[in-house]
Amino acid sequence: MLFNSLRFVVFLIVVLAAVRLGGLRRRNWLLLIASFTFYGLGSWFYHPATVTSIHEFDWGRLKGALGFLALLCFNCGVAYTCGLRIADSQEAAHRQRWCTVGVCTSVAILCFFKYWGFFLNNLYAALHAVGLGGAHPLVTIILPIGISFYTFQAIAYMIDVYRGTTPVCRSLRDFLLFKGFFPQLVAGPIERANHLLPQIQNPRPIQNADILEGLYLVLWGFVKKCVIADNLALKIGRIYTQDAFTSGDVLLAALGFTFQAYADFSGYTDIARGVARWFGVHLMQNFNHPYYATSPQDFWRRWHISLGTWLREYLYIPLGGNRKGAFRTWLNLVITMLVGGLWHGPSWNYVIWGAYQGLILSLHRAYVAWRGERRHTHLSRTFAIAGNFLLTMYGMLIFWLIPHEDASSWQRISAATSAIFSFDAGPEFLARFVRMLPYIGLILLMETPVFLTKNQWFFVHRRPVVLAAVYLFLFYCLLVLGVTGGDQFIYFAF
Amino acid sequence: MNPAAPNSPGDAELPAIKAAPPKQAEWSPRLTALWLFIVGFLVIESFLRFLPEGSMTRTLRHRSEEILYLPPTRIQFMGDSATNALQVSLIEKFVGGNHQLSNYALPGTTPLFCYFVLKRQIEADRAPQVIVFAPHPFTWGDSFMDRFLGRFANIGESARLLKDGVDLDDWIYGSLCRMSYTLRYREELYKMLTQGDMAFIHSWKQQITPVQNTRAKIADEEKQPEEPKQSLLNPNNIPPILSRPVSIHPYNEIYLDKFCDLAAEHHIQIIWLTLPIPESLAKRIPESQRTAVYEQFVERMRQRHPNLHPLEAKIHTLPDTHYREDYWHLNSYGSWVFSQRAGEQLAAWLKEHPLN
Repeated sequence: MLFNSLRFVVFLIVVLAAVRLGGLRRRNWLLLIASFTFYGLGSWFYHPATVTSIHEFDWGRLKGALGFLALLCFNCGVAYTCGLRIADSQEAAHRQRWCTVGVCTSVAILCFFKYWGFFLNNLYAALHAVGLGGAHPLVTIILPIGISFYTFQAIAYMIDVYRGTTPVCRSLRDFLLFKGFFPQLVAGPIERANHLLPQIQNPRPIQNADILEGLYLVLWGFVKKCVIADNLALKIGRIYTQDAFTSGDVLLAALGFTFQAYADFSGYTDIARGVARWFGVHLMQNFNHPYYATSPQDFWRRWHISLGTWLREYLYIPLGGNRKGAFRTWLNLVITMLVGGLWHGPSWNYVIWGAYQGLILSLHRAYVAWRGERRHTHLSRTFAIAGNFLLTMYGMLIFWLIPHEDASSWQRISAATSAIFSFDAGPEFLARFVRMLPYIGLILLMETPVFLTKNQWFFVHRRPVVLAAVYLFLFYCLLVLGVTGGDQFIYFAF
Repeated sequence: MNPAAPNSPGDAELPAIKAAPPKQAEWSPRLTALWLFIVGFLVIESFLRFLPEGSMTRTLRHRSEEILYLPPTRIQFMGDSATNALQVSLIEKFVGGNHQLSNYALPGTTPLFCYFVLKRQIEADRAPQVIVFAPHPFTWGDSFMDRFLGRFANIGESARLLKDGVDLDDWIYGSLCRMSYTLRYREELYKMLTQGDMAFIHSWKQQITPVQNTRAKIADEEKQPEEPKQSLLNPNNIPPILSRPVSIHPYNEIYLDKFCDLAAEHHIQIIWLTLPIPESLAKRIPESQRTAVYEQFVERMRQRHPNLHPLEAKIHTLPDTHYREDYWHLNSYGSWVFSQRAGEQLAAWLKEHPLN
């Protein structure tokens, strides 16, 4: 079930009413039922229909949805059991063993569903290339929705219990809700146990501030997704189908997709955070004005923060971080970002994107080591933001060209890169650029004051009349400018 | 060493996940802003109700009334705005004077509308003996459920759709369109704001599309129009819906089935006439994605419904040059030419299947 569907709105109204009527004591039970219903329904709609008539019951879809639910329950069961075993074991070796069992099981499930087809297809292709075996049909495995997010959450929980940084959760109900809390289940943020679990274990009454701040987050999130991201997707969609690019096309595509990706994913996160607030739960902030970052390192502190911190805490630092010399630091950065790239999907193109991110992080680190730490002046900060934005745009361009997992996407990346230096704006460049500006302008209008004042509630903590006007502005933007039947969220695919 | 510990100033700068749930917000407002927002929305929508409705909505609403008072004819054309170009007074000359004809085609509609229009006609005892069903071949890809619920359906028909199992998203959206002016015209407002297309404002003053009924003497004069000297079509400005392969929306198939079943129950024959498309469109879409899909669909429906008689399943073309005012609609000359052709085909069919 997509957030940008009316059936989700109906579902949400029913759950809100039930939680309101059920009171504080029954909230966790109700939210647990709602969360698993949400996942079940979401899986149902995610599976392609197996019947053509609306009068026939779609048993194929039901089977698929139940399979996804069973997998989620199994994943929860593994993490819950291993967490208990780790906490209850007296010996360090036992603790380590249970942690290894839990992490390896979770990783194995993720790898099977996400990478097994990719591995087999590459293996068959390699064997075929050296003359061993004929051409093989593509192996495809349907990816359970949200598996990357809930698996990472489970791994983080088990490692945190092992490290002793979070207490074990003994209530199965609370643990299932921690893993399956529906606003963040399918596309994050990847919550940590020590942040979300205490809020589930000690539910608090819903305050007026939760309702008002939540409403702002939900409306702004929907505007980002349905108005900005989906309209920008329409504007750059035509460029995607072109056989050849000019510099102008590449610039427009990179600029458009850079803002589309941000609006799409941060829009989802804002909706998730807003909905969670209506149930009295604070989810972590996943984006912090990433395009105002002054360096690649700063970018990853602001973009998809829950994934960035996960990679840092559970991969980069265990690999040695920056403790083992400059070369190992660069290598660790590249490995971490390669894993981050592969996390997005089983494709060599995501590997390229990850490698690109690892490379620019390493180069930046080398540059800082050579130049030494310096404070930014206003001018140098402006240049740093602009320079980093260009690097980000190129990264986004690679990401945008990725969806074709075949040889043509490699050629397209290379064609787009060489087109940058052709210095040919192409026909209608200016007109197309101007058509994109209102959407980019809307982001800047709503986010620059928040960034400058460092107050995420800049538009909310106002007089009631002003706040109501902000709500109305966002609501009418959504009604009039929102794209109906727009794309699903980009991060649903991960 | 604790592997989780930050090991450099750089790492320590990274945002840490807080170990405790966040404190309660200090800001503790009343819900005045929320109520103001709801009241503001209701006030704006109430104000918008005073604005005129677009010509399509007015046509649909007017047609709801016409169905109930106009005299029934033996042969009735149904379809969308492209079908509306067929001149029944001209066709009547081919099929003979005792066959009264009417054209109930509704602009911007689909078989969903045809089913409910026929249902209303049968309930009002104003059903024809033969229906010539001639929608544009490219309208099959969309159900226009929002238009139907927002501009045409009554409460009983809305409930009927829900009972039929239509998608809840589509049903809710269509029902909201009925209530909200902004939602009803969001496509038009979107075009106005993003493309500067003021067609919506012009449509306030546009006349409604009249019904043609030779029995009620409501029909155009059948004068031969002058052949236009040049084409008005711009190949760079083809609507996206006409550039896509032909597809059949499930609701269209379901409600065409229902339409045919309802007609069969009341001994009404349906003749399926395929409207021509411009040559330049045909060139853009491969044969396999155009005619093949359409022909299979027509054949499937013919096999299911003995009272359905396709006159010609193939999507044929008319040259762009002189026959069209845009990529959807025939101009008056094209309409005159194609009406004669349709008249000949209909006359031939009636010769084989004489009406009582």
